[in-house]
Amino acid sequence: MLNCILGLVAVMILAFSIYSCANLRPASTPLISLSLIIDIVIVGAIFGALRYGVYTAYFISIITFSISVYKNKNNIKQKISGFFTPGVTLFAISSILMLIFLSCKKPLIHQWDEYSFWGMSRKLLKEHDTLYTYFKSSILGKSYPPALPILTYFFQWFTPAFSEWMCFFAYDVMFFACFCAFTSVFEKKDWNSAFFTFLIGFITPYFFAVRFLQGFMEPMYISLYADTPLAMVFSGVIAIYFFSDKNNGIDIFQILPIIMFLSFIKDMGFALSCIAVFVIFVDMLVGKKEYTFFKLKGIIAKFCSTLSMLIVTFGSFFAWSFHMSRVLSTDRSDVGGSGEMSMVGIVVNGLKELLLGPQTEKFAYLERRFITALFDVKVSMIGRGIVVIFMITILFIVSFLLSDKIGKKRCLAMYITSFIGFVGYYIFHLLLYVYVFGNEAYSLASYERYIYTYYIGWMNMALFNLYYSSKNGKKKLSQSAIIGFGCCMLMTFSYYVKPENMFIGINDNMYGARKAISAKTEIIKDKLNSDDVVYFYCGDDSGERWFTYTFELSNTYIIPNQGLKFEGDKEKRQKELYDRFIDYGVTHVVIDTASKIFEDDFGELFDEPMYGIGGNEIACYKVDYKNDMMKFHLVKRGVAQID
Amino acid sequence: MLNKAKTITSKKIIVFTSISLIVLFIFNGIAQFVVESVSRKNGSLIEKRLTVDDFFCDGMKKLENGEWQTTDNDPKMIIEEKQKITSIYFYMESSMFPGEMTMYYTEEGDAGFSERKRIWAIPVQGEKNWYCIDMNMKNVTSIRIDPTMYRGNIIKFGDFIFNEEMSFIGYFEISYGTVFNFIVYTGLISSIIKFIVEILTRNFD
Repeated sequence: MLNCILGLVAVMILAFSIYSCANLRPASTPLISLSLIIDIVIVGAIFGALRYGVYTAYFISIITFSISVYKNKNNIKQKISGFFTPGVTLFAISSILMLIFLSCKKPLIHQWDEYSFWGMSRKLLKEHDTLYTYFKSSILGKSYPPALPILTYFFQWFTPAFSEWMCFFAYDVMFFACFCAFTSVFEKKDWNSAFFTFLIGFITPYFFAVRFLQGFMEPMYISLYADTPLAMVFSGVIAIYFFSDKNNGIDIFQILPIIMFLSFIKDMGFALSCIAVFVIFVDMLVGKKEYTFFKLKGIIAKFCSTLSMLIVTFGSFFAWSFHMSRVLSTDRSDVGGSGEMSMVGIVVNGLKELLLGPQTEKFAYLERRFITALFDVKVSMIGRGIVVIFMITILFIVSFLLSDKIGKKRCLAMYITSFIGFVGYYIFHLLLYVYVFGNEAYSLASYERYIYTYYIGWMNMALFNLYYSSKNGKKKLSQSAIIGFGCCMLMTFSYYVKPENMFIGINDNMYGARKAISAKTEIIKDKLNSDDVVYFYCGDDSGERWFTYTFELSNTYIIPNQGLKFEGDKEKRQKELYDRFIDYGVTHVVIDTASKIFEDDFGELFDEPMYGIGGNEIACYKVDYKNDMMKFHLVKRGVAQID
Repeated sequence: MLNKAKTITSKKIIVFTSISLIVLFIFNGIAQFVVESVSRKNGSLIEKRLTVDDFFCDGMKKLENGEWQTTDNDPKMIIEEKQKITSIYFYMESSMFPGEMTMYYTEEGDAGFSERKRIWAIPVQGEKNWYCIDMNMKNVTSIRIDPTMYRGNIIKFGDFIFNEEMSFIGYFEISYGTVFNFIVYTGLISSIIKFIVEILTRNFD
């Protein structure tokens, strides 16, 4: 717990330094501070100096804090009082309460892709103190940028071993920093509006993730997926810029660390950064008349500001590409595409196919499906995509009516640019489904999760205009609109989400399967080391048990099972397995759950029969290659004691 | 009155709201205790212990060792129980994560079970494999428990305790949900009160 406190203190003291030295809105600073810290560590990590990145981040936090305390020694109490606006206070209280809760309950990861990448990457980073790109592992998606793994690493820097609950805490600090940024425009006397803003921010992810009444827990705030972080950090960038009233380069400089952080979350973060830059550029044109950038004025100043954002966005993209080419010998533009097309090719050819044709059957089907999905796929508590778009439009209209003259222009500009952003985002996802996804594309697998990232950001953009008008337009009417909207959201939320559906309903019963696998792994762990290559057989498993084992045995390379068809007679199947083993240099075989089919095909290769392995029992065999054949010799077999 | 309203500070609003919510919580606990005590005294609320054998089980088969295995994805345990129910506690160990555990109930005049009358079983904090269905003093005619949503789940059942008598302190149990609600509703109500006070005092800055 102390580790997390130190990480939180580092964020807070750097935030205070930024506030007192640059005189920014206090509620903007936690997100700026967090982003800056993680960006420093990312730079270190990319160049193989991860630990030095953390040292540098802590050093900068302490030094800048010392300087700002010294500079303000005569009025330090006043400065601290000024720093703790309602948003910052809510950020601090939320973080501390969440820390107490998570340290007591110690939740574990339990979602599929958390085992394959999102949790695994954090574990590898902690265990090796170096980026997961630097060594061989069973991780999938090794090319994913490292912002979120490094975020979790920073908050458990001082711990001797990897901690899953601390990863969740790191994410939650990031979320609370974003909600705090949404309250930037509010002063101390506006604490009630700030509270509602923070509450709306907190509820919003549930608003889109929970679409039906359900009896199980929705793991929001205890999940390591990137969809909600993308949405919130994207919103945070827009919020901090939008509420900043410096009318000079500082409006942009303060968001550059966050743009960099966003670009390093995932490839989609780069796309969202570009959309953010577009929205901000147009807002500068309509909303910032006297804007200056260093000594430049007018449209040149705005262009140069936009250029600085683009430099950071593309610079982040190319920095990770450089790292990938150097360490993974992979071109980033080739990654993420289908077998025949690079990512750039997908965009270019996809747009060509969309606008000019001819279209393949899959393209034509998915194009129609994406349009109809807006009308028939429920993406939120209030309904389908078209209903969400309608709600967002209403929010923009209300904000427009309640704003002052400048606010009206900014509101209209933001609606148009965010709408264009949505169209671009939606089309990009159509292309991903056509060219990257396999058969699962036809059922629009995970459609809701990918699209709601933008809906969250879009809804937040509408609300930012409302918050702005509560300070600059028809204040009391805007405030009642915020309270009214917040109450409506809370009522809808209360209907769909009970305490047992939230993270506060965590209980040990959820982790039965995970704990069983963990206990079984302990039996064979001492027989496997980091040089070994393992084939895992988990019986009639959907893949989740297999992924869980790759997470538990993160220091050992477990070969993928995809592509093994096991067709034909016994001899052919044994040959197929043999070829796979030779390709990967498999040294051990582990049986989690035996099955009759597997025993019939391969049982004769085992010196000890695998009959009965399953339940709490596990067995590990050493592979012996001789005369173009292989034999499996039992190394260890045992029954796990599971509570 | 307007002058009095002007003296209401934010601190006073928050303190007043928090104290009110605490008082409401205590009052609610006392009221529940009184209602249940009266019901137990007059015999309308009876504590009962049942086993899985008292239920009609569909989509499940009993194994030789006394455990049960689900044979489809919608196993059901049904019992006719014409009585007032405040809670059902039951013990259940399963070989795989059960997923949603749902209880349906019928009241007088209902044709059959429906999703409108559905309550989810929630794990009891701090008591492994114990689950609770909070019925809130409903007069039911039958209940149906769906213990898991997966086929092939091997389940060991313990007792099903209907209307277990709670200690007086039990009515004032503070869970994480209670704390969460307290914080949110304090902030929410305080914010609304402050807004109303500002409207009343015409404090439009």
